Amino acid sequence: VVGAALAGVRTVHELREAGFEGRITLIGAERHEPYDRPPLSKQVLSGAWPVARAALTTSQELAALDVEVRLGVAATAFVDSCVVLDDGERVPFASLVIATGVGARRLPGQPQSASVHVLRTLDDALALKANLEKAQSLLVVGGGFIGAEVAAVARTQGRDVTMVEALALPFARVLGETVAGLCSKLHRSHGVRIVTNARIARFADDGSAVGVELEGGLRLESDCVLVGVGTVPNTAWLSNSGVESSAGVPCDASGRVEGHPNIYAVGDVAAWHDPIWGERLRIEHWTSATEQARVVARTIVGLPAAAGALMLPYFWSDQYKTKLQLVGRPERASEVRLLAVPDKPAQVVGTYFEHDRLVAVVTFSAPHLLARFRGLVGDRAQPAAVAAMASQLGLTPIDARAPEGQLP
Amino acid sequence: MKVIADTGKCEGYANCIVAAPDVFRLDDDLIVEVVDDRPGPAQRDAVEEAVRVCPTGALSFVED
Repeated sequence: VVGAALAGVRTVHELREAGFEGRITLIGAERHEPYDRPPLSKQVLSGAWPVARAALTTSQELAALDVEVRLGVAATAFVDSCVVLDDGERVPFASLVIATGVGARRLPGQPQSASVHVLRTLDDALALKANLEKAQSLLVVGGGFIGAEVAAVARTQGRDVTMVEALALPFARVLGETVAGLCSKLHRSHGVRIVTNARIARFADDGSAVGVELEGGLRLESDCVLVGVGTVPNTAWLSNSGVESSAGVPCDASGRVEGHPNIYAVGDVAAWHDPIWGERLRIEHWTSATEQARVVARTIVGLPAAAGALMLPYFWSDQYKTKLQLVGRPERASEVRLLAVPDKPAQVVGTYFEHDRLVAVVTFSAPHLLARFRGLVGDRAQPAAVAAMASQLGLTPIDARAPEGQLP
Repeated sequence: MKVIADTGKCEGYANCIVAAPDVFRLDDDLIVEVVDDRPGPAQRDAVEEAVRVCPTGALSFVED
């Protein structure tokens, strides 16, 4: 198993759980013991959790599972049924599970500076945390969820926060304009300055302050910069392997890599064929990684491996006191309908439709409601069924063109 | 089986009530509550899934 984060670690656990008796080697490029990533931009960054609480497993637990663990070594290639490591060792395999994840994308010209950060690894999180503790101000480049969570932590700590977004509205790429508007309102109401339609011309770093210069000349300075502009699959090591991987590793519906019957891929790097949507999806979400690990482990030992209900794309994001959760494929939607919860202004439900089929649901601070709508997304329910559920739950429509009354 | 929820770890993601809606619910503070802590064999797969998909590792069970 190459990759020792959530997908890889869960795969080795599930292999033993499924009765796999062969030798298992778990290879991780980072020197740290395996850890969970969602807390990095939330509880670890804020200091609410000690780092140890983000641990996924321990070396004792892996030893008890009879797993040979190689941390701090990266796979550089695989040839002739051997994974080649950067320390020169070759690890032979009968089955290979690719779980190398994704890396943070960087911007052209992004300086290697102690004040300019990305956030993907534990080391990234600790460096950002240390910088933020001394900083008065934070500049977030990119209106996505990593940026949103870091902005929320920094505002809660009293820092001045500015967010720079290339589009007309942050979060719109993922959430669509209607719901992105609500999310922007949340950040503005907490004092985040949002600069939109802003393209970075260059980074500036004069030693005391870093910042960016926008096209048009506006210069934004800050003590600390976070660049959160997406991810890139970690597939460079597969470039000469015969596995086509520019857009992630293409797999069938049980995680077997196309054209390679003894090679599998799980987690953020894997693009599985998805039977619900009839296309290949690379889903960078926690729950998908856990489900895929189970399916692949069971497939390797020859057990039936039906994917569970939680295979739908699903993510959560904690920002201030708001818990934002989304299930489904909002990018497919042509229409969004918002629902209010009587007497609970902090709770909002957004339903996304594509040609009269429900394709996604988002909730603000209403996880119990997300759970009720989730099955309808899996069924691609029609509006009448969605309306019936809304009515049963006592939800009322909000004018999607004027949702500003929602969220205090 | 006896189902155990650590409410100190729960952050209310509600994955458990998708996986096993007859065993778990969220209380008014949106924290997990076990409504059936000794579910029958028919609930085993659902409970195992709930334990597996809890992002905070708040759920567990012990065999009788």
